Amino acid sequence: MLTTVRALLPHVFRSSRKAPPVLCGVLALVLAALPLAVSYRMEIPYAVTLIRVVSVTVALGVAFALDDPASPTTQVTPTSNLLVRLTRIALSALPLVVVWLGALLLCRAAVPAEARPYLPVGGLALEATALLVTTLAFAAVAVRVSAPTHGGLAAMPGLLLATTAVTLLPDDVQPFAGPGSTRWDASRWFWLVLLVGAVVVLASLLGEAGHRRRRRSPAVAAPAAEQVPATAEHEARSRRSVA
Amino acid sequence: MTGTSLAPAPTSRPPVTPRPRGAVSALFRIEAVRLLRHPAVLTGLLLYLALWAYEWGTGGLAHRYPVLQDEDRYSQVPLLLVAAGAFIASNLALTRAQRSGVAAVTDLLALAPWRRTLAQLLAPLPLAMLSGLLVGARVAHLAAAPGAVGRPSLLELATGPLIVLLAGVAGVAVGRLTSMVAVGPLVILGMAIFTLVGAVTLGRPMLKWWGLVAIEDEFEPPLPADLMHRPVTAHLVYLAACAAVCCAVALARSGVDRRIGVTAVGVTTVLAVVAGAGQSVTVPGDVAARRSVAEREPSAQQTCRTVDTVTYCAFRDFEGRIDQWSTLVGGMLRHTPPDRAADRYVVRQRLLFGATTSSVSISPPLAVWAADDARAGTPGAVPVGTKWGTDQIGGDAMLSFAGHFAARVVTGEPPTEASALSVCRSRAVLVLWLAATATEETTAALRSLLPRTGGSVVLPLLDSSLGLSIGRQEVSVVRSLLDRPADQVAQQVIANWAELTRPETGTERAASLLGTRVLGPAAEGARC
Repeated sequence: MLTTVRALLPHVFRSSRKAPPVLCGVLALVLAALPLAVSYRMEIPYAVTLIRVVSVTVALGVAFALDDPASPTTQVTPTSNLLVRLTRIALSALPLVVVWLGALLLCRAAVPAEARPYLPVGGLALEATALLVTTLAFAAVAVRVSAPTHGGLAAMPGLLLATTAVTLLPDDVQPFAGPGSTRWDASRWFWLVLLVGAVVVLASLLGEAGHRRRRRSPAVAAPAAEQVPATAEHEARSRRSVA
Repeated sequence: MTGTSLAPAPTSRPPVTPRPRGAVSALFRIEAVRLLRHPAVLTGLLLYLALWAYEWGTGGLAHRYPVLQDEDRYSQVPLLLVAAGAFIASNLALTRAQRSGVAAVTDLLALAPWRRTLAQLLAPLPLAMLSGLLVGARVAHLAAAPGAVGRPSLLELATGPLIVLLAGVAGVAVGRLTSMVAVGPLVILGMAIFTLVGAVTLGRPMLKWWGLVAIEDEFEPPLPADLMHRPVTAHLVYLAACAAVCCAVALARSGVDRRIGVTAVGVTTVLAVVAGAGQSVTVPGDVAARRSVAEREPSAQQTCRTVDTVTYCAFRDFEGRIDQWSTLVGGMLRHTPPDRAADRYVVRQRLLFGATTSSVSISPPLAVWAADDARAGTPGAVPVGTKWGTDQIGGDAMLSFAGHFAARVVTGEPPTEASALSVCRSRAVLVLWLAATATEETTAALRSLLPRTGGSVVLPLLDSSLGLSIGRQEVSVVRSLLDRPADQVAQQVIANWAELTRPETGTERAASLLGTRVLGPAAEGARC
């Protein structure tokens, strides 16, 4: 499997959209670095708000992770769709997770030292993870029901609209509860449920579509054993011809 | 088949004259309908309506007590959902050809690109009108609520639809500048961050007016409409100028004459900057003078109404609030002896500017207020502010007024430093219990306040430094009394009124008179 992933990486990287994650990553880091740049000592509520903005920005970056214009032509390849899509997600999400951690450190550094222990890092990480996975789930739904290139088109605006609507909810049901507020613990349950729901939706949509799975013949479904020698022979021939 | 003629059409047919205006109009109609039906717009509208329905369904509106001169600007924030949808939809409409791989083919169309852009710039107009209808319906719904007071500003109501229009044309402009679909949402994110920064940067009130929506400090009390100062007209001009900049940019990138395009962008940008800078937040002299009179001598601007034995004086925009005050006061006097309930009381609405914005609490001008009351023939009036509601801020204000009115009944004196200090021990128990049991809403307000205060309670007079301070022991007695039926406790209160209102009666004695006991020790350094 590792060999397959290693072989997939350059092709998946080449066919992935780079601009959205790069733009969002840079924007997230710039936003997180602003308070330090202007020497502003942030209070905990402001730091939490900034980290939440960074989390939304990072989540926007993975919106296009599942967009693959070539996917109709690669439906019948022996490599599983699940593996290809997980590789695509990893390529977009892992650097953005590193960006989020960097942004968190930048925001934390802008908080006075005595207040830093009160920054609810765990709860904010849960929010960020839920936002990221929800964006991916949104994109996966759009890719499945619409077109292979419509994931980001739907997920980016969808995330923005949903986040804006959530911030307008009344205080007693506000998922973006203030740190230290009486609603904080209860609001964590919302994010946990959202995360679990998004993981379930994403997991069910990343693999083959049901009808395609059924139509696959055993020969196509498990060709790996025959493929390896064929590839090796082909490579040997190529080497001979080059020589 | 014999009748079929392959002969060329007669050359005498008049040549077809191009009618670009008609084509623009036709394209506008198509694009406007597509925009209205776009999933992003529909989602924005649905979320707007869902928030409204949630508030309605959970009974939030029934206890809202809306002040319409504030609700008009509150209507702008939820409309940002529709504006975001408009931006995304118009931006995607511009990049439609690019995404579908037919961009090159559009060069062959007879209609000039700038005319097509013009049609797309006009397309958000129907959505803006629909937003205007939604805002109108929302404010009408709030105005119909039983506790609604005040009057909305048409200019504030027009701001929301103009923001939707601006978002629509901005989406077109961004689409003309770049075909990258990821840029549109990032622009929205940038605008949202700017609006957020403007809202939380209280030290620079001008900053928020450079954004779409100018959010005010929610801790500021509502004001009568004629004392408010928000540069709404200038903000509308600024938003319109921003929309003009977007139109100019979109048209300049669509093949209009280069000189015309550059000139239009330059002129509209200068106009937007000038209009933005023209949004002065400095309170004009006449408004400042009116505010000063309203703060120090409001009696001439107010109307008074007597309900039972209590006279209520309110600013004209808040006359409707008298019903809620009289309900609260009536609920409180029901638990007092008949001779106390039959006394003449006065409640006068007061404003105190700067109480919430300054970091140090300010003292209320009690001597000036007493002189104004004396002139108006209403001595000893209990002040009540303009905040009212069942949320945290409104609930605290409601409970504070109830506490100060209860102190007036218990001590027999209007609110002063001395009378506030005399509310201790037994009197404190009585005042807080009367305030808390006045209505179900004041009971809920006390229950909401206690977890935030660590056990003791301070009831400030209009957010000033003067307040009733009630210690932990007294609060614990009131908490245990709240678990019993109010009428049962009221009988004990009325029977022991003389002893309970005596300044020297202790907390333990009050508790035993009311059939309960003190829980926990008194806080160290307690005032009483």
